[in-house]
Formats: sequence, C-alpha cells, structure tokens
Amino acid sequence: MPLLRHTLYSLRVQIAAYGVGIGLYAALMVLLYPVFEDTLAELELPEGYTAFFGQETADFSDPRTFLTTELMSLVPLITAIYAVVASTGLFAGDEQRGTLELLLSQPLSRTRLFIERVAGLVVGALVISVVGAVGFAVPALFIDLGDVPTLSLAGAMINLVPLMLACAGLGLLVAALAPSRAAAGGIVAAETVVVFLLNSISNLNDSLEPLHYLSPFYYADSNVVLTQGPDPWHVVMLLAAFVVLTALAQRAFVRREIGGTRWQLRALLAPGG
Amino acid sequence: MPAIRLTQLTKDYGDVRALDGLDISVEPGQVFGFLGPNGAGKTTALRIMLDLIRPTSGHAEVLGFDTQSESVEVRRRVGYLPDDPQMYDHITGERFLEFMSALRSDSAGDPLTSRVFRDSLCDRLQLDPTRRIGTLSRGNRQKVGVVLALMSKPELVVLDEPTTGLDPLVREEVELLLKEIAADGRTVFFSSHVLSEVEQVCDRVAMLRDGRLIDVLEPREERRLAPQRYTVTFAARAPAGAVLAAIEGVTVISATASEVVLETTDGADALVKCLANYTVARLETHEVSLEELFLSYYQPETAAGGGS
Repeated sequence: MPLLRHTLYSLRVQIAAYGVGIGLYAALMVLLYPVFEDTLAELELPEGYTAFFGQETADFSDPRTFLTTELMSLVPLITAIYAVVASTGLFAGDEQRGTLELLLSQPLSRTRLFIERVAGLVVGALVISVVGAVGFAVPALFIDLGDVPTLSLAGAMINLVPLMLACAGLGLLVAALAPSRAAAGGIVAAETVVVFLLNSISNLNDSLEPLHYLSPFYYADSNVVLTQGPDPWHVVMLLAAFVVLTALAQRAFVRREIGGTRWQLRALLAPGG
Repeated sequence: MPAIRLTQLTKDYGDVRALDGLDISVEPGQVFGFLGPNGAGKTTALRIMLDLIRPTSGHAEVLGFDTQSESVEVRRRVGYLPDDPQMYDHITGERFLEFMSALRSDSAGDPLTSRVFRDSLCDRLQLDPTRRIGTLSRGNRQKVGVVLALMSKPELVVLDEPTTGLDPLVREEVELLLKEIAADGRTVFFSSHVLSEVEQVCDRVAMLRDGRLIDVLEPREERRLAPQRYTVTFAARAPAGAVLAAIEGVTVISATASEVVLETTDGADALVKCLANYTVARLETHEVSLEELFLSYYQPETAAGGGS
C-alpha cells in the first residue's frame, strides 16, 4: 500500500510531535502529582472553576481529579487540533501544492487514494494516542496514585481516538468542498474551538446544558473517563460521526474539480463518480 | 479507433467559458500539437482528458475509454506531464519516480514500468535522479516530469508545455523521444506555444482561440502548399513589374527600381526561366513559417484564416 506508507511518511513529523508532546505532558503531570498532593488536598476550588471543568473536578485530593483538570481537560483539544490540521491538509494541501495533479494522473481511483490516505490519518491518530498512553501509564508504575488503575490511564488516552476521528471526518468533508486548505483549516479549527468552549460553558448553567450535545468533546467523556470510564454509546456516536462525515467527504472528493478555486458544494450533490 | 476523440467539449468556470464546443479527433501514431495563446483552453482540455476536471457538456474519449466513467483505464494507458509539474520536494527524483512506479500497474497488478528504461530516460535527459527534488532547478524538475510521463511506455503521452525550462540540447532530445514514440505506433498529444517546436515535431496541429478550435493544420503540408516569397535584387534596373506579374502563378508584392518582392505557389520554374534573361545580383527566398500562419489566425476575427 504505497499511498498509506506515503501518507504516514508525510505525517511523520506531526504524528511524532503530537504523540511525544502529549506523552511527555502526561508523564509530567503524573510525576508532579506527589509534589502537589498535600497542597491539593487542602485546596478549595471556586464553584465556577468546578462548574467549568465539571463537578468531577471538585475533589482535588483525588489524583483522578488532578489528572482530569490538569491533563484530560486540555489533551482532547490538542488531539482535535492534530485531527483538524492533518485532515484538512490530507488532500487540500497536496492540491494546493499541485502534487495531487500528478498523483491523480496515475491509474488509481480517487476512492482508493482517499481510503489509503484516510487509513494513514487513522493510523496516525492511533499512534498518537498509544504514545500518549505510554507516557501516561508508564510513570504511574513508579508513582503512588492510590487506587487508580494504570490501565485506566492508558485507556483514557486511547479513548481520544474516536474524538480525533470525528474531528478528522469534519475536516475531510470541509476540505473536499472548500476552495483552499486555508479556508477549510480556518473554518474547522474555529468550529473546533467553539464546540470545545460550548461543552465547557454548558456546565455553567442548567439552561445551557443541552448545548453540550452539539459538541464532540461531550462525547469524548474526558472529564469522567478517569472516574467512570468512557460511555460506550458515546464512543459509538463519535465513530458513527466519523463514518458518516468521511463517507460524505469521499463522495465530494471523488467529484471534486482538482485545482478549483471556488466552493464545490455541488460535488456532494452531483450524480455519478 | 481514434486515440483521442473530443466531441462538443464545453467547460465553464462560472461566467467564463474556457472551452466552447471543442471537436478534435487524433489518430494513433501521430504527434498532435495543441497550439494557442495563454487562456485559449489548452490546459483545460488536457485536464478533462485525465478526469482532473469534468466538462460542463460534451464528451471526451481516450483510447476508446470514456474519460469519466473509465478514467482509471484511461490513466493506465496515458503518461501525463502537467504544466509546471509539482512534486514532493523532500524526496529524491529517484524515490519520487519509484513511488509513482508503484502506483502504475496493469489491471492484473503487474508493474508497467521497468527500472532499466527509466534509467535510460534519465541518462538521455541528463538527469541526476539522486538529488532531492527541492534542490533541482525548474528545468531539472521538468526532466523528472518528462521521465514520469514516458517511463511506462504509455499508448498515449499527454504533455502540457513539455519543453518549458529545458536547455536547447535537452529540448532536442525530448523532441526526438516524441518522434520515437510516434514511430513506435503510439500517440503524442502536447500543448505548446513554441511554434518552432510544434512545426518541428507535429504531424498535425490544432489551433485554439478563446476555447474554440480555429483550424487543424498539417505543418508539412501547409509548408508545401504555402506560397514562397522571393526578394530579387537586379544588377541593373529591374524589369517592369508587369513582366514578372505576367508569369503564371507569380504575384508581385512590391517593386522598386532594382528590387522586386514576389510570391509564388507553383510558378518557381517559370520565374527562374524568366529571371535568366536578366543579371540577378541577389536572390533571397523564405518559406512562410508556421508562425506567420499562426499569427494570421490570431488577427482580429474578420482577418482570421479559418472559421471557429
């Protein structure tokens, strides 16, 4: 599968940077916990803080709370940014550079090109989460985190994969319709930050609570993943969003005019391949 | 079966019509030139043939395959060089060609390219494929693109301005390669605005203007049929214009006391016999070049040599 290999080669710097970055960040938080353990036990957090990050963060003496607040509240956004950057650049970047033209002049269907490159994106997401899981779980073998199972730390990182894929699905779709990588990246990055804040803000007030259903970050369960584990239905919903958005993106990409400088919404509606 | 058949091909970009009912048929074994100024629609037609873009209306068929519904079969048989080809700067030319070779296979999955032939093309074009593409000059990147287009010995080679950036020696080698492809019974379809190149290489030339086909010429035939122009300088006084104009097939363009400019299509023999009666100091001749023909086609509509 030369295209899969080529995609992973193209993404290698991003994958390494995000994977190692998140892994080091997670390791640092685990290693820092004993330093702050006593201080944190006496800490009283403002109501607004716990509301924003979720009631699960109220008890700071629990290492889960510390790790959720200091790590798991932010890592989903970081991984989502990887997904947005990688997905909007996967085809649109090549198209803008002009390299897609030579690729598409070879005897391979656009569907095959799409599938192999998206497979590379998925493998990249898995590698980032596995490296993050190693960074999270390995230091925990040497640090006393009470009754927190080491595997649950690794699982929390692996649980970011469905979120990354859902964000990537949207990135692929918008990039397949947008006139440029910059337009697609800008729109999806802004949308990602908005839905991230939407999920957090929805915790502040009961009347805002329904808003979190609109955010993929709600389904990522990052604020409860260390205490309750992920909700399987939420995982299914994120994966379903990835499948639907990616299928639409594939349809649009197959019908896309390569090198076009306008929005190509018709690519979704046009018949034939 | 024509190698290429474009039927009433039309392409609109919003309000701009890039191609307007283009009809072209190219027979196998020909070198077919696609000539026109910038914006005439040449690249648009080529990109439709590769299914990179879709026509607004009309139909394109390449080697008997529909360019949209059978695009993979088309691309399996076509080597393509885009205008200003872009490649991955961080890898070497060799690695890039190997990557593309891995994507070029027949319907059974067997490779279409051989390393030996690829290397021989690099040698002929004086390309060092071990250098990173990002460090290559425009001309050397163009050479990588030419090797890519030719390396699988495709039935049809589609080239968009193939000699851009190449030095004269390599340009000649590319022209030779194109002639060899045609001699092999395969077809070359290339766009250019370099008239001398088209005249040198092509069996037939389609001229485009504003997305419309103006005419299809055969350069060698056109040159044979085109009038020859002579400038005759006489040692003494020139004969009266009427004397020369009376020769069948000769038209006097201008005349001074000692110099006459005239044109003839099939009156060369009679002209020489007539001139034998006078002392000629100098006789200059020149053929009407494709460039002059081309320019005549691109004069305002009323003066154009062909319909559209």
